Amino acid sequence: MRRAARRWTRRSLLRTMGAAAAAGGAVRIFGAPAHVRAASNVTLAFWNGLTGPDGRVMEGIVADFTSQHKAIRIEQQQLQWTDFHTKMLTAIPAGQAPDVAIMHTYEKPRYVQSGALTEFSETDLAALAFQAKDFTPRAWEGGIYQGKRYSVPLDIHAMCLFINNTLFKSAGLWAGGRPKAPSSRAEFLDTCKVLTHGDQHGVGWLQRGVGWAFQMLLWQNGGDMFDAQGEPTLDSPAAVEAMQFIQDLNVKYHYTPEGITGNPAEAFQTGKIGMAVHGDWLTPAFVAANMDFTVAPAPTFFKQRSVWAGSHQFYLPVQRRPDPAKREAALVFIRWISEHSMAWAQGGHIPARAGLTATPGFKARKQAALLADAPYWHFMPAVPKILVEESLITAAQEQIFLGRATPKDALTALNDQIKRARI
Amino acid sequence: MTPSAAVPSAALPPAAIRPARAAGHRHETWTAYALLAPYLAAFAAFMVVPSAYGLYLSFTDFRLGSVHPRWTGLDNFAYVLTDPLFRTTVGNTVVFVLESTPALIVIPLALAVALNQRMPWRAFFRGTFFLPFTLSVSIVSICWWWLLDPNFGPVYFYLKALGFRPPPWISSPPLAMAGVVAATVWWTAGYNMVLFLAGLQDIPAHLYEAARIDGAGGWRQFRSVTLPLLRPTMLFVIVIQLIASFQVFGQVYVMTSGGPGNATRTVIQYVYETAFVQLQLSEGAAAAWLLFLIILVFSLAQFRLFSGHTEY
Amino acid sequence: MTADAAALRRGRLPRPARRLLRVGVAALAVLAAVWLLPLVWIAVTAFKPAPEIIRLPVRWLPAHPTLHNFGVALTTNRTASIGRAFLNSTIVAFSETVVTLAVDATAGYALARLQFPGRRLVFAVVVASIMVPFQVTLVPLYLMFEQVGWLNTYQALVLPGLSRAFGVFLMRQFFLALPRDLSDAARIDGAGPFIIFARVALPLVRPALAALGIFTFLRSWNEFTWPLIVISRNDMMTLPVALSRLLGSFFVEYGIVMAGAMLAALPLIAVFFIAQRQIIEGVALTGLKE
Repeated sequence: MRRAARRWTRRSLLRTMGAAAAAGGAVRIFGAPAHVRAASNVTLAFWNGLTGPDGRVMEGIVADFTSQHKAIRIEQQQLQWTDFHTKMLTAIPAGQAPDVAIMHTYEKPRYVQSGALTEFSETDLAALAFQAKDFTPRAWEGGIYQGKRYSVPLDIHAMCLFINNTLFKSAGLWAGGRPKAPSSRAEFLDTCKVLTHGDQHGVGWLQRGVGWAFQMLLWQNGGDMFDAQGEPTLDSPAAVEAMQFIQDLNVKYHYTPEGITGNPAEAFQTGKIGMAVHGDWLTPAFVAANMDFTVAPAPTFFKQRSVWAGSHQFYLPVQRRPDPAKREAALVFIRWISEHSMAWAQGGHIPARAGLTATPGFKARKQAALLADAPYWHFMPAVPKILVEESLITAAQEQIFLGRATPKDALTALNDQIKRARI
Repeated sequence: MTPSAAVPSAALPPAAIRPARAAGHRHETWTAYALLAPYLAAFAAFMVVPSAYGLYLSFTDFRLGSVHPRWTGLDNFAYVLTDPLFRTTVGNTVVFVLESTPALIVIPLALAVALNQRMPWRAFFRGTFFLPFTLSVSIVSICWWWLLDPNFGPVYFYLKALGFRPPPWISSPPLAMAGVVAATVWWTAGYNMVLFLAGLQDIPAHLYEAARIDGAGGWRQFRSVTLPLLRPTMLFVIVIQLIASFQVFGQVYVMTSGGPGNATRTVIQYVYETAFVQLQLSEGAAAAWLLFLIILVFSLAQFRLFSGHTEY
Repeated sequence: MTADAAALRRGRLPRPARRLLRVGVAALAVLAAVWLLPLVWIAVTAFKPAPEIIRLPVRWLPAHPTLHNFGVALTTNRTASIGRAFLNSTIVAFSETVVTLAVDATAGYALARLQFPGRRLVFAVVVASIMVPFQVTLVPLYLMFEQVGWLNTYQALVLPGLSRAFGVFLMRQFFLALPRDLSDAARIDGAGPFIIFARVALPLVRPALAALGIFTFLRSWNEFTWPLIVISRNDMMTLPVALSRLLGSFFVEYGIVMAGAMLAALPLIAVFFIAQRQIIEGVALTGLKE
C-alpha cells in the first residue's frame, strides 16, 4: 500500500516536471537528482558503437553520471558498429535487449522491420523535458520514422578535413596563423601535390567497414545510394564518377599511400599524410597524441556542396518484460547526458542542443569550424538495406582504390549484391 | 569416412580377439554404455541435434522471430551457389589451406625434430615456440596487423631502413593472404610442434641405432626412420590442421576484415556475415553445410592418400 | 651397440655432432628470439604512454614507462570489468576442463577397451563430427539455448564444448596403447570392467589427462565466437570478448589493448612454463601411433 503510494508520488513528480518543462525552462531547479532519489536501485544495460576515441569520452560521462546517481547502475557495452547491430538484432528478439542504446538515424527501418524499437511517448518526452525548439532541426527530425518518434538526439557528427599543421607549415601551406585549407577539388589536388614527396602523401580517407567518403562524393556529384523503393542505385554514372576520383587519387596521382585501406588515423598521426578526410570523432585521439592539427570543413569535390553527417541518437529497445522503473531510469540517464552534452563535445562532435553550440565553450573547440556546414549536412538514407550496403561496400571500395577493378564493374557487382540480399 | 581408415588397427583391438564369458560380456556391454552415456548425451544434445536442426533450417525461409518457417527446398542452396561472393570465398579458403597447411606441417615438424634432441635450453625453446598459442586470436591479429602495417609497422620500418622497398602486403591482394598465413603460423605452429614431439617420443631409439650402424646420416635417418614411423601422427596432424585451416576466421576478421577487396574473405566469414550480419540465417545455414561438404571431400582425399601407406 | 650410440644414451655426443649441435642451438636461439619479438612488442607497448605508441622511428623502450594502460584496462566502464571477465573465464575454462576430462576419459576407455554392440558405428560418427564446422551448429545452438532460457549463463558457455570429439579420440588412442596384461591381471583377480577402468587404467593415463586438460583449458580460455554470440550481459562476459571490446573500429588504443592482453595471457604463460613437461610427455604417451 505504502509502496504503491510512493510510486504514485514518483509518477506525479515526473508529470509535474514535465509540466514545468512545458511551461518553459524551470527544469534545472528540480534537477535530475530530485526524482532519482525516489527511484530504487536499478541497473541499466547501455549499448553503443562508440568505439572510436569518442568512446573514451562517453566512458567519462558515464562515470560522472553514476557518481551522481547512486541508485542507477550503468552497465555499458561499446561494440564496433557491425558487431553492435548483430548483437542488437539477435538479443532483442531473444529478450536480452539493452535498456538504452545509442545508434544513428538511418538504422530505424531495419529495426522497425523486426519490431525492435519502442516509441517515445509524449509522457517520455515530458520526463526528458525535450522540446523541438531546443534542438538542431535536422537532429530532432532524425528521430522520427513513418510519423513515429523512435529516438531522441544526442549530437551531430560530420566529415571534416584534418590538417597536420606541422606538415602544412613546412610545405609553405600556411598563412595568417592558420593552414591554407583547400575547399575546392582543384585546391585539394594542388595541396596534395605539394604534400606528396618521398614517403609522405597528401591524403588518407578510406575507412574499412564504411563508405562514408564515397557517399559524400556521390551526394556532391548529385547522386544517391537508394531509389524511392529502397533498392540500391550504386551503379549510377554519378557513383562511377565519384569512385573514379577515389581511384585516380591513388592510381593516377599517387597522392594517397597505397598501404592505407583500413584507417588513416595512424598514418595521419605519424605524419605520413598531410590531410585526412574523416569524421570529427577522431579529434580526441589526435589531442591525446599531442598533435598540432586543425579541423577544417571538408572540401567540395564535385558540382554541389554536401557534407556527410549523422546524428547519434538514444533508443529504447523493446523489452520482453517491460519494467517501468527501468524505463524511468533510462529517461533520467538520457536527459542527464543530453544536459551535459558539452562534455560530449570533447568527443569531437557537435551537441544536438542548438543553444550549446552558441556558447563560448563550444566556439573554442576545434570542431566549431564545422558549424558553417549545417545547411549542407547530408544524413545517410533511412532504408532497410542500408546496413547491407555498409557491410558490403568496403570490398568494392578497396578493389577500386587499388586499381584492381574499374569503378563501373565493382559498383555493378556491389549493386547486384545488395539487390539480391533478402532482408 | 570409416574409423578403420582413420586409425588402421582400431578395427581389431586386442579385446575383440579374446573370447569372454557371456555373463562377463553382458556386464562389459552395460559398463561400456554407462561409461559412454555422459559423452554421448552431450554429443547428441550439442552436436547431433543442432546439426540436424541446422540442416532443417537450411531448407526453410527461417528468420529470427519467425514462428512458422516455410519449407523452401533447395532455394537457399541455390542462393548461396549462385552468389559470386561465395565462390570467391571458397577460392580464397582453398588458397589459405594450401598455403598454411604445408607451412604448419613442415615448420612444426622441423622444430619438433630439432627439439627432440638433447640440448641446453631445450625446455625454454619448446616453451617459446608454444607461447603464442596462449594468446587469444584477436590479440594475435591486432599485433600482427600492426607489425606488418606499411605505414607505421616495425617490419616495414626496418625493411625500409635496410634499403628494401617492400610492397605493402596487407593491402596488396596476394601478399595480404601471406600476412594472414604468417600470423597463423606464428600463432599455432607450437601446438602442432607439441603433437609432433609426442609422436617422436614413440619411435624406439634402437631403430636409430640400427640405421646408424648401417651408416645412415642424419638426413637418411630422418627419411628412413622418422618419417615412416611418424606417419600416423602426420595423418592426424594434417587432418586436424586441414580442418582448422578450412575454418579460418578470427585472424582474417580482425586483421583484414576480408580485404583488400575480397582478397582474404573466407567461407567462414561468408557464413558469419550471411547469418549474423545480414541475419539471413537459413542462407547462412546452407552455406555452412556446403562448407562441411567441402571439408569432407578434402579429408576423404587425405585419408585415401595416406591409408595406402600406413602399414610399415 | 656402437660407442656413438652408447654416448648418445648417456647424453654425450661425438665431437662433430657436438659442433653441429652448437650450430643448431645457435640457430634455434635466433629463431626463438624472432618468435618472441611480437610478444616483447606487446609487452613494451603496454607500458608506453599514448603519444609514444604510434610513432616512427620505432622505439623498443618506452621513454616514459607508465602503468596507465593497465589502470585503464582494469577500471574501464566501456565493457565488462576485466576482473569479472577474468573470474568468468576461470570458472568456464576450469569447469569445462574438468567435465571434459571426465566424459572424454570414460568414453575413450569404452571405445578402446570394451566390447559392445554398435562400437564401430559410435566411433565412426564421433570421429566424423571433427569435420563439422562449428558454424553448422552455431545458429541452432543459439536458438536452442534461447528456447530454454539459458542465454547469458555459465552452462551455455560450458556445455557445447563437451560435444567435441578431439578429446575422446585422444583418450581412446591412449587407452589402446596401454599393455593388455595389466587389465588381464586385474580381471583374473576378479575385478569388473569399471573397477579396471577406475583402479588400473585411469591412474596410468594421468599424463594424457594432463595434456588434454591443458589443451581444453587453453581452447576454452581463448574461445571467441560462441561467447560473443551467446553472452550479452557484462557480468557474464569472458576475457576474449571483453578484450575485443577494447578494440575500436576507427582507432585502436594499442596501449590499453596490449595491457589487457598481457593481463589475460600471464596466467596461461605461467601455467605453460610450469606444466611444459607434462604437456609434451602427456601427448607423447598418448601414442598417436597405431
